[in-house]
Amino acid sequence: MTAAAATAPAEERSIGLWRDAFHRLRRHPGAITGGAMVLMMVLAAVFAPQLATHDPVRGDLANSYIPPLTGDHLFGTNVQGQDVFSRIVYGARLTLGIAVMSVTIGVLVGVFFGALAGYFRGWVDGLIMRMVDIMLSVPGLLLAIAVVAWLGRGVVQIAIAIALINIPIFARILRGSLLALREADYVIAARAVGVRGPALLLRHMLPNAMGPLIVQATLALGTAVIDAAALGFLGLGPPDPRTPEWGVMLADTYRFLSRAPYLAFFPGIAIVITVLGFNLLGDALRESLDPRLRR
Amino acid sequence: MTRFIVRRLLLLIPILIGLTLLIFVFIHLLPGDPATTILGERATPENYARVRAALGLDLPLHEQYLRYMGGLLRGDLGRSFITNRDVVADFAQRFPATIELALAAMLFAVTVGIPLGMITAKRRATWVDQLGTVGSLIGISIPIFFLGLMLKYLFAIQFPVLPSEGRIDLAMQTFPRTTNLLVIDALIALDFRGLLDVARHLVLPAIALGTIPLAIIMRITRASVIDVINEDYVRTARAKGLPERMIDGRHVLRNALLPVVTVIGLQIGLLLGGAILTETIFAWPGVGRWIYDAVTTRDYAVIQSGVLLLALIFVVVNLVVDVSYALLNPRIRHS
Amino acid sequence: MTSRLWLSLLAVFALVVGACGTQVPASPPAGTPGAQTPGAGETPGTGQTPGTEQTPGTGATPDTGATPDTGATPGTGATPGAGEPQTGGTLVFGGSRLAASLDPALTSDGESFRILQQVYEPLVDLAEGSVSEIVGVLAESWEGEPAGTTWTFNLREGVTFHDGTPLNAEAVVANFERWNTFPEEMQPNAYYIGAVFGGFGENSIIESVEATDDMTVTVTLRRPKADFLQGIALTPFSIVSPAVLEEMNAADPVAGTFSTEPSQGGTGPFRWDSYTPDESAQLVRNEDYWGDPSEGPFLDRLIIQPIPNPSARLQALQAPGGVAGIDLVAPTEYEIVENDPNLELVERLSYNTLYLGINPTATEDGPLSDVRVRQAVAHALNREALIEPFYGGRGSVADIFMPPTSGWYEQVSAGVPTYEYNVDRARELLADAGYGPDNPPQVQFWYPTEVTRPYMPDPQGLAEATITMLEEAGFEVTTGSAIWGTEYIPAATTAQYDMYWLGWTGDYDDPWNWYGYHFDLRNGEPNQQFNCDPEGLREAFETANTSYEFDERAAAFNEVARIIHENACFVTMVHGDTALAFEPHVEGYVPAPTGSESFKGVWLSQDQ
Repeated sequence: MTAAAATAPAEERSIGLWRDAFHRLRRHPGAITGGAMVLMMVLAAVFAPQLATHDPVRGDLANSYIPPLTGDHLFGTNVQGQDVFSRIVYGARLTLGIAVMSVTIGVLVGVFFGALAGYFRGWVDGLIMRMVDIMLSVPGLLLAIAVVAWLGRGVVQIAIAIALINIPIFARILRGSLLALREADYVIAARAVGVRGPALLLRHMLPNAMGPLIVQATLALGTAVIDAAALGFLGLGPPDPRTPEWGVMLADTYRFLSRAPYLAFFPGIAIVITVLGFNLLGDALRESLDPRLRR
Repeated sequence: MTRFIVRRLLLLIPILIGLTLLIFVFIHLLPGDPATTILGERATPENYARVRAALGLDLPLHEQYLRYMGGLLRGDLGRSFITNRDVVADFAQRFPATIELALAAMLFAVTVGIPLGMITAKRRATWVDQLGTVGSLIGISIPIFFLGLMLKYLFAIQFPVLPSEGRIDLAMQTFPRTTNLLVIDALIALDFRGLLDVARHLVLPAIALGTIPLAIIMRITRASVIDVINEDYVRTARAKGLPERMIDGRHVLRNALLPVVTVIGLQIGLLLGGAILTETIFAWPGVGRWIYDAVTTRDYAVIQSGVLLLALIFVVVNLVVDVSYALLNPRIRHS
Repeated sequence: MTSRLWLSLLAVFALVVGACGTQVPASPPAGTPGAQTPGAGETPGTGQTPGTEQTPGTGATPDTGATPDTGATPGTGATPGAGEPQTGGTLVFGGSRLAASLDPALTSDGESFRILQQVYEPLVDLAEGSVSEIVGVLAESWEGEPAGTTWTFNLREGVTFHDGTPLNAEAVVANFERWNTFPEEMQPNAYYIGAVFGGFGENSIIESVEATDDMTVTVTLRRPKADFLQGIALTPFSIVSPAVLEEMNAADPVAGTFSTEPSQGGTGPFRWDSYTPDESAQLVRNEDYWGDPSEGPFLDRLIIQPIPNPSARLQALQAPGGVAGIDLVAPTEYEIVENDPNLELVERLSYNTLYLGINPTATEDGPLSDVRVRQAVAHALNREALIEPFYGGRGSVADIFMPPTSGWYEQVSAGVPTYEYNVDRARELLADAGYGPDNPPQVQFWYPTEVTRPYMPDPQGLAEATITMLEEAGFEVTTGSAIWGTEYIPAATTAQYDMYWLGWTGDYDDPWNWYGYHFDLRNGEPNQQFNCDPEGLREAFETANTSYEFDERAAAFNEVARIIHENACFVTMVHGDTALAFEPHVEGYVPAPTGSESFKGVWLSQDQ
């Protein structure tokens, strides 16, 4: 980090950092592959109505268990006679929706508490961090199961349950970054010229603490996809059992694994591609934003 | 060092009290209650009131909490509302199953993950490294339940070479269950057929549960080894002309393992969470499935005690990891 | 008939729902003189115990219709020349769960009975494979009248409990006293006891139980109970060694271990070795069993392993070694079993019905209060289409509530309206009722989770298909699901769901057990589960309940059925099949329509 950057206004400095990171990202093979995978799923989600060849929800019992690549059933059909390809495509919509919703809630609430803890220090910090410790001491999936049992089944409830796993993680990361930033030259400089309180936090510290958060958020999107599918797999998915959710689809195949194993393959691969995409992207971001690698 | 440990132990107390309170409040937010569970369709108002009173559910919340904490301090976590079995006894009976599975998974992850990490680090930027990196990323991205289903389909249904239900062929188990860690029990009894059977039952669930930790351990080992290789003392050692194998063992691995130990510790929580799914798929009679069932049947006594015991174990493992880290790393000890 | 008696009868039947259709044969409603017939057919492997005295009153009436018997399903090893039973070997059997409690008096479900009935025995029992014939077990003979208040039991000589103490009149008296004096907090779990006896202590129908001599017990009732004998034939009424009860503090709800630990207090063909929750129940042969050794027990060791998922059960069976028999094969997997030369499918006689429950009052002024909307539901459902994907082609469409295997089927079903699949007709009926595409009738549909039942192998799959059919006909459906035991049954039976799955497995062959249990008045009110009170139904029931002769009774219930189906009070869906699967070396298993079987006669043809 150069001395010039340290004295420059925070916004300008971070724009430089972002632009720099973006340039590095564009040349990063992992970022390109991961980005393509995520983009594919995002496109599937956005254009699901155009891509789907059949109604993803209503099946036709006369057409049950059609093998893949038969007629206009690219991925075949399940016991209900529902078209698996159409369900995968609509499933992308649902899964990405839950993932984005849960990570957004997780980031917002986590940042709020992390900022409180990192800014105020003292007993506020102590209290919040003990809460974080407590929440992190319960296995995440168990926490999510309990929340869904409490709130009832539904897309929003699942998103909240997964957000709850993420909140302590984001809070802890942000607090760590803020503590480190307190000693940064430009923060000391800003304080020296009289910037205080929320202004210091919001204008000078938060923007510079965003890097690790963005990396974590990208990775959290991947975990959220897995957690949402895990809840669906355990029978805690959305209430309409016909909902094309990938975890629910996998759980359905579990009941008929010896009869139609291909049914497990498609939703499973869809999950792997999405999660892999987010993980590749997250790794690439981490490397692009890591100051150690900026030498 | 002692002060460090004592301080960490003292920090446990507020965490555990907070945890009991959190679990307690949370459980009482769950809709429905065990009285309806127990009574089912035969719930008349009189029966309902009687069962609630018998379970102490008619007391004010704070009294219920104090009663619960009182029992906790006496080591009495109550009985399951559904089966009337002693919760501690049931936990003790199931926990070895989960531990055995988690240890087998960890063994798989460590014995495969660390060497792979070493190899990919030493061949950095070759095709071996690329392959390893891609493989580890896929490993992290595969959900346990999908991997478990595939393993089960491939090795238990399509090519039935391995068992995929339970811990042991019950018809074959003749040795006594002293520890209920069946590997140990079979060894004590010198029953090698039994041992083989137990091991065979462990293979698929351990791979399903161990793959994510494997990938993480491999990545961390790789990164850490790369860091250490570039350290001065390794370069010095190499400059001195020490044999490569000696450098790897004495200098690189020992120093590179520090972060790996931490990561292994952190994986414990992941393993316990993943156990719910693994135990569901492979009909493994462990703690994860037990608590999941308790949540779905609202067996308050089991949920609060089970989660608490799991969390306690998790916290203690973290403590052990921290302490061992401090022991391994002089820099932390002295600060 | 007093309404109290009715109540206690209702309670008995309520149990059976509690037992999730465990099909414990209860007795016919009092007033149906001996509605059950002996002669459950030739049950292979069972002979009637010689010297068993038939109770006066049971089977006294001429044939009231063929009782479902097990003649159709010969059981394992029925082929002639299977050889003489051999003693020895270990059998691992895959059930779906282990026992809810190890105290037989505190259980009410089939999975518990499966284990406990091997260890503990009641005074009398149903003959193997039968749903109607009562035979002596610990009682060698008995005397009593359904309309009387005195029952005398002559105990079998030379029976000892597994702990070595002898069975005598005192032991039986102690057990009756235990049932009558259960501590209050245990009473809800001692559900069968409370139901059959009408309560505990002062509320119980048991006035006194005396040891008339060393081997004779006289039970005096406060009032007659027609199904007393059938009631105490159930597993919860097993006689336990008083010494064991005392030693294990069975009466102490907190410190007692009788409900959680295996005991040596039974008299059955097997005794406890070990019990590991979620993992196994292990029983070993009772070498001192009182019965004729040529009838078993033969197995050295019987291990029950819980495997909740039906497909997983089959996989465990197919895997080499280990599990050699399973219950409740998924109907869609019968074919796999039949095509596997190493497996044998053993079907139980189908005696159950899945129905789509409709409650017009769950939603106030909801569309379902209009009979035309209910009829539209019935026409919207393509029930035939469900048979292949969900029942593996084995079930049959349920035109009326009672299955064709019932001896009453022909007379009761005659002329009863059925609803063929006809979407246009459904739309027409909806239009008549004032609904259309812009104004669709809104209904909620519920299905249970964490369960498979004989009539409902895949509740979720069935629900998905049915919802789609209803949408096709123009309904707007919202879906809900709930856990079977915890939430679902109480909600479904107390008018909280518009539409839902439930089913019924018959307890004995009488139409009251089907129509009466569900639609007859309770406390003078229609059963709130259906809130179905169409004109003429109350009168029809009154007639039916006072008809005792077969033809008269059948005609009366035919009228009951006509009114109920005409008003679409519910939609009967499918009669399901249930089956077990065994490896071929397992011999002598006799299936019962009740779903609860003894392993006494089971043996292994070669040591595996």
